[in-house]
Amino acid sequence: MSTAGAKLTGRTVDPGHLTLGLVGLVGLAVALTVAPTPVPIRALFVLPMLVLVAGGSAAALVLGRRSGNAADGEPPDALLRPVLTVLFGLLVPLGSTLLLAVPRVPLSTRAIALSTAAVTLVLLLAARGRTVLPRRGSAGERVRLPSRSSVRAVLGVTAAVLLLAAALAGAIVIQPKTVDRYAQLSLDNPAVVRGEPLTASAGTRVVLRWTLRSYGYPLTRAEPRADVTVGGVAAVAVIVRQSPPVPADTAGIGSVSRLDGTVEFVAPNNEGLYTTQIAIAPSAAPATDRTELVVTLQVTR
Amino acid sequence: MSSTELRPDPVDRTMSPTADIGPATSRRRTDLVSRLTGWPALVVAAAVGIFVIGVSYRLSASGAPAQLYYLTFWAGVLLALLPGAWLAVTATDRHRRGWALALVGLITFVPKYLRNPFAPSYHDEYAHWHEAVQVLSLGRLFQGNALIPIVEYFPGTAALTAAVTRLTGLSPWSSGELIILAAHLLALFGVFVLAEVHLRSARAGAIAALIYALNPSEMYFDTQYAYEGIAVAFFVWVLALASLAARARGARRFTLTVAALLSAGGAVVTHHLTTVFLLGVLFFVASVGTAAAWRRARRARAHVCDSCRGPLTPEPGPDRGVLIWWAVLGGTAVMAGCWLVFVAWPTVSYLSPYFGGSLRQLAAMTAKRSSTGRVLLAASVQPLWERAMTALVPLIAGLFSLKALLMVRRERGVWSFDTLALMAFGLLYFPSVLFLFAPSGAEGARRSWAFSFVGLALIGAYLLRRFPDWGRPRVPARWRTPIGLVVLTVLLIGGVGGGLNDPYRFPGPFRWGTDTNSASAEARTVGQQLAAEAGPVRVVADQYTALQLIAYADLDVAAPSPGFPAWALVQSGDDPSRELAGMLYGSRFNYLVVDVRMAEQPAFNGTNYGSGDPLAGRVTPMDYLDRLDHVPWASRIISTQHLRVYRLNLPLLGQQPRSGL
Repeated sequence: MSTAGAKLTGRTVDPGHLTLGLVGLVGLAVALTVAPTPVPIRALFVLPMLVLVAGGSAAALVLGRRSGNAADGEPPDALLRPVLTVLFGLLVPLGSTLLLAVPRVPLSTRAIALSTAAVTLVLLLAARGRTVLPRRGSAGERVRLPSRSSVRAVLGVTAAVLLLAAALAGAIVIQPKTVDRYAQLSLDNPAVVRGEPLTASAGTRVVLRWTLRSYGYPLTRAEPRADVTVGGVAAVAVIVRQSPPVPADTAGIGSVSRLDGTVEFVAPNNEGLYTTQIAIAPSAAPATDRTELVVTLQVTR
Repeated sequence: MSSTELRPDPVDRTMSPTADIGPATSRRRTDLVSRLTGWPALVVAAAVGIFVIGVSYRLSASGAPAQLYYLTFWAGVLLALLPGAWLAVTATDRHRRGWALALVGLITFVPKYLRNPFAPSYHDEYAHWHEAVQVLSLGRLFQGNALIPIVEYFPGTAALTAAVTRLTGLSPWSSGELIILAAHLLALFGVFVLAEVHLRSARAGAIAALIYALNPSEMYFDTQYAYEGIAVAFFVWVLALASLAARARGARRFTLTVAALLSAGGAVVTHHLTTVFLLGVLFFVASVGTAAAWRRARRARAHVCDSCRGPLTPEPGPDRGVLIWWAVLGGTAVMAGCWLVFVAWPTVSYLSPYFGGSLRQLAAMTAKRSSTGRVLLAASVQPLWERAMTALVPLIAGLFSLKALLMVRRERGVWSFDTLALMAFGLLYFPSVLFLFAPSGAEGARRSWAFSFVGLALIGAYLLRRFPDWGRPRVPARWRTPIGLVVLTVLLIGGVGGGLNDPYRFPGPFRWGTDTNSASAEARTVGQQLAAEAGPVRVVADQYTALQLIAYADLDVAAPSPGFPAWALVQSGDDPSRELAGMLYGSRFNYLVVDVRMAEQPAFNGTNYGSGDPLAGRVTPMDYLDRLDHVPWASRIISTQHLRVYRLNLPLLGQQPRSGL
């Protein structure tokens, strides 16, 4: 991390070749983005490449040729140029994504990669044309390659970043992991869930389907206890059926196991609205996991 | 800028920690300082400090005493930050200074990152993360947002996140964190360049960046995944690039102006409030420049006509630096105006209540109607020493500003109009502190600091770069370093303490009524289950459960207000009015999600249903929640230990259920 900029050696590369090389890198970045390339490669190569080329080109367009001194009374470009590279590295993908929104092009991987690459190439060619390519009557300025000391500086920065990343990872790993243990009871009568009333003729059997999901602990084979009340009193002729608990297949919501069940009871003999309460207590659950469903039952003649 | 301004700033040498002491002592001290601020030592200190911050979070998450985890946290931050900060200020090498500043930026990003590295936790983060996920899944910008409706019209954050996600394959959250880190570093370097341009000293630039890094918004608020964190970087760079352009010549002046306008465009499409502040500061600087030019011209005319009695000489032409500021202002105003009119018109109605409301509340407070006021740091576990330092920050800033004002008066004519105008803009911080006491104004006041601290950073840098030469009494050399470190520590601790409160800064056991520590897996899975069974339906829920339901289940949650008092379903012991029932039924808000923990403790943030909550500051009576199980118009269809989901059937309102069989 020393004054790398001052220690450049005399090794140079032809500017035309460098331009072609950068165009090739942008093309490769697009190909890697569109192809099913592993995330680490895309994150560590594609994004930095597009940001560096696009941002660096835009910075070159703004600042012109590298001066490396304060001859114009402005801060030396040595710091301004890389920082502007990052600034434009944000503005280029932002602008190219917003541009896609104008003709309502869907923001797919291919569209974003191509639009960003297109803007990058325009900036690259404009910047190379302005700052490096031969001018009237003069030979092109050859571009100096990084020296050994620059490489050492990059290695030093990499080592520092790795150490800081390791410390960050350690700080994350030591955080306590909490696993919430709870059960979730849901009604499986789609019509009721959608808002249709649960109706039954007086004295007929009523069937309610339910699903019990456990989070943080598995359900056991022991039957859960089920209590049913209708209109505030215990229901008549209650039959509870349930499947054995199975590992949950509900992708995305993280339950450990589930069991499905039904509860049947006889509807009251008088018409009217009745509050029907179903309480299920899983055997392996904490005592507080007694969960209830409450449905308004409309009894008709 | 004339060539005389290019000389190395003589005052920079006096800031050296070894100035004014004997050569042998100086050499020994320099060796020690060099070893302590050598890169390996610096990076190791930063790594150990980061780990200690992690330890403090572990302590707070485990319910340790607040004193312990606060002390551990600050031990970690100071260990990680101070060596880098010291090197940034004292380094004589430009690259070392740059890397030290980058390290400072990284370390000030870490506490918020560690707070929730893998998923959103703050209110605005849920809104922006959900927006980005929606944009990515539907492939279109401008998606509606139930948490912060205005986010729809400022797609900068979502567009950038979508771009990085598509290019890298990282998750939207990781992409967002990467963008925020880049923006955070850019903002610090932007302040560095700004101060270096204006104060003609790289050391002043580093001091300004450091002061900016200490602002109350910087460590937690502007490092959250939200639009302001990104837009602030653009804001700073508009000022830096315009300042550079105002001092440049030829083609570079043009390209720098265009770059400033591009940055302004980035701010316009990303964040409304940043755009407002940007227009304000640009107008202020340009106006000051014009006023100064007119004053100079008038004096020149008076001098020519009255004293010399000679032929009239041509008037001095307009200062081209002023024209740059007007050009950037004009361009920004046109972009902002077009964006507002053609894309983001709802912004007007969104922002107006904040301005009007806070002014009215402040006026009411001055009329001694204390019920509208708020108590700073109320119900906080923040240690007394951190509160004391928080109280010291405006005091120190005030003293610094006063001293700077006196020094600037003696140096009239030395500093450019834009330098003085930007410093004056920093004084906005002081009236904004008053708004902390008005409920609607508190957030706005805090939000203004990310901008006004740019000016305060210039003031501080102007003053501190000349630290030993402030006049009498002179500070002895051996005291300079300790004094500098103590002031830095007080500003750092006090600044962060004046920002977000404990539940936002530290993980902890479940605490009802905060966006962060009220988040539960139960609410998330209940929302996902409801969405699986009923689809993306409309729901009434408290403001904390709503975050989970919207972000993870894509449910449309009601935003209660006095005109739509949906809270009455829960915060009242009576049935909802016919009028409310009609609104709910007509708008298809057919589901109600209740977290019974609102009956166990009052909300930490004061309300469960936003500012109109009739039970603000109080626990919801459990009877109010239990009665929902006994009314015919609500059926509980999903249930966990703490959450209950009801299907509303409001046409049954007014009917009585029967008892018995």
